[in-house]
Amino acid sequence: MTGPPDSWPTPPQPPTEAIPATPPGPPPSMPAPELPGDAKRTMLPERVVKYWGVTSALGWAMAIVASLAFTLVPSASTVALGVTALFVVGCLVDLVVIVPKRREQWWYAIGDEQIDLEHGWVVVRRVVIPMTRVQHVELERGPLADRFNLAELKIFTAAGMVKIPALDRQEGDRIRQQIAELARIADDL
Amino acid sequence: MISESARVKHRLHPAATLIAAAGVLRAVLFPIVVVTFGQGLLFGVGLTLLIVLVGGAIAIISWRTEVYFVADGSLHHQSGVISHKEQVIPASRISALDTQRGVIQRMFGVVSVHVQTAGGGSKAEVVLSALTFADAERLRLDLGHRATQAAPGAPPEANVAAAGPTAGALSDDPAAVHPAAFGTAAPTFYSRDPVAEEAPVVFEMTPRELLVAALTSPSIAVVGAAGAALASFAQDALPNSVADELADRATQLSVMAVLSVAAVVVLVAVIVSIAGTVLMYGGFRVTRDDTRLRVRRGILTERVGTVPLDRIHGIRVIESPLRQLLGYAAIEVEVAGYAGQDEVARTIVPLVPRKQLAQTLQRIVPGFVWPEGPLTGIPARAHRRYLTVPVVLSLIPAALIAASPIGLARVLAVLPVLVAVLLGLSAARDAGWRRDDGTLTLRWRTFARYTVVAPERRLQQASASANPFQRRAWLATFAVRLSSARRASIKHLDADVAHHLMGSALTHTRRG
Repeated sequence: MTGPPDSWPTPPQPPTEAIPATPPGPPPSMPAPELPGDAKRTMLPERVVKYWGVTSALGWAMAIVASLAFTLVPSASTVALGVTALFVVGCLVDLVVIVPKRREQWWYAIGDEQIDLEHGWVVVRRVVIPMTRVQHVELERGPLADRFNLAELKIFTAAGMVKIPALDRQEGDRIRQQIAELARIADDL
Repeated sequence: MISESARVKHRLHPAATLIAAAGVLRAVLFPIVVVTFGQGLLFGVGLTLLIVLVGGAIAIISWRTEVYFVADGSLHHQSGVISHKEQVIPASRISALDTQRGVIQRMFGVVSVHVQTAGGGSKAEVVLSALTFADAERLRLDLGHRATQAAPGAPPEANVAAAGPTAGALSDDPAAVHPAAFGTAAPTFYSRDPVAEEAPVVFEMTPRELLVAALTSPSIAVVGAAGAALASFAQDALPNSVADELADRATQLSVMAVLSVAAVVVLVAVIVSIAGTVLMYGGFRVTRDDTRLRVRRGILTERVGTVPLDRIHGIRVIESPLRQLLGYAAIEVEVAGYAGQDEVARTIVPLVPRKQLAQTLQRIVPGFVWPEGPLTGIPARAHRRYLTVPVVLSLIPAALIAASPIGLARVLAVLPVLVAVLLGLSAARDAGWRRDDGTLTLRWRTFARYTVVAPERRLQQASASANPFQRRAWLATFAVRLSSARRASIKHLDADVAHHLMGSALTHTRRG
């Protein structure tokens, strides 16, 4: 398995698609204060699907190779073949359904006062972090993520860490800068 | 600025060797016992002697290599026989110097000092296992002095205050009081009792409360249940022939025997639990000076923990069902940077009558107001959801009991379900929230009932999550995270309310 070719698209501008921010369901029974995510939500860049696809395909490939190896054992060959078939189906479902869905379920919004993000498929979780509580920010990229010009942003507070798993690198740098500047006015913990 | 005396490297009190050797011995005690059983007494004694000799030699060598000193506003700690280790901890990063006195420390009149840092895990960054009271006090003063002189991480106001002529003196501005500013301690901080005697006692546990705490501690229930289960298992496990024979001989007697065994087991459990609680919480006393609480507890091993007041970012009240019935509650503090600390370290009140809760809190943590008003509960449509999980879970033990061979016992199968229904109903009733003037109160029940009260400007994160069932009913689980890295959450709030709380509770963060 080789990495993606270098010619893979790396758009100069971070793709920021606005998606409708009005949640389904009954109208709010009380005036909710505006959170950053209520105004404008940003999805992860589209390349994420390919990136996640490659990472999980690598994992599946390893599992498939291992189970194929077991087909050489005479007594276990039928079982191993079945398992291999299962893995192949799992891999396809993962790549075709789950990975694209994962991106669809992710959005973030960085406001002046809060960081607002939501993700999850079965359990949808929206997290709000006050900007003043941010202790530090980390931008991390592995060799594979680097190929896709993606980076992972980790936001640390005294209570733990929250991450945005894949951002366009320039966008990540910009956000890191932005958060660092906004969080600088923070008092103590 | 740094006086030469501060650069002198200090050794621990020689008692440190004994403490280290005792530690080694404790660690190998069990293997030695096993080996002795296997190889005979002589071998065991020989091995013990060898270990004592080698361990003692290592302890003495490591005592000779272990030094500490304060220089450039940092605590330096060098140790290690084979690989040398030097730890440097800036005074500004030290959140507390806690003390502990075990039996050996008490014999030699020394204390072990645990250097706690905000970012550290459950263990203290550095443990100086044996210091004389005078040494400990000097260390405290040295570090405190440096901390107020130039604390790199301190807020700017602190530096300004420190630069003035009254450097080191206590400023009224709470922002200027850095957690590591020990300079305010009285000169004779350590007397025979390492707790500052001049600081007012804000909480003390009465013997009666200690007894109630012991009798209602969660461990007693566990031990009791385990004991009962063991006794009944022993009864079942007796081979049929033995059981028959016993029955033949004297039916009355065997029943009596089983009963008395069970009684002894329960009695032992009670005694162990009481002894454990008394050893742990005996002599529990909280004193408070201007900047921190000192929590003293323990009978044989005496522990003194420090909680800087400005790091208390929340209060957690715990009412286990048994204690709630008797009208008692326990109080823990949510302390910034205590992420890995155990429950005991966070406990500032092991047991207090519910009626005195508000006033006790007021006395211990001034400025912390217990919310008196009613809480806003969950919507009526969410109540039944609190029953689902416990009832489904209770079906497992219920099924197990129903499958029991003894016909009469099958009736007991309703018991777990009944308990689950009761728990679910009270969990639904107890769940609620309240906001007053920048303070958020969340209450919920898992088994015990928890109430967390926290200033909103200290909240680190808020979240609303919903599974598909909750989404269909427009409900959400609201949770906040505190700087103690612990969370507080309410299940099945109206999704709009959760969203509202998420926004409004966190907009307070700008102030303060």
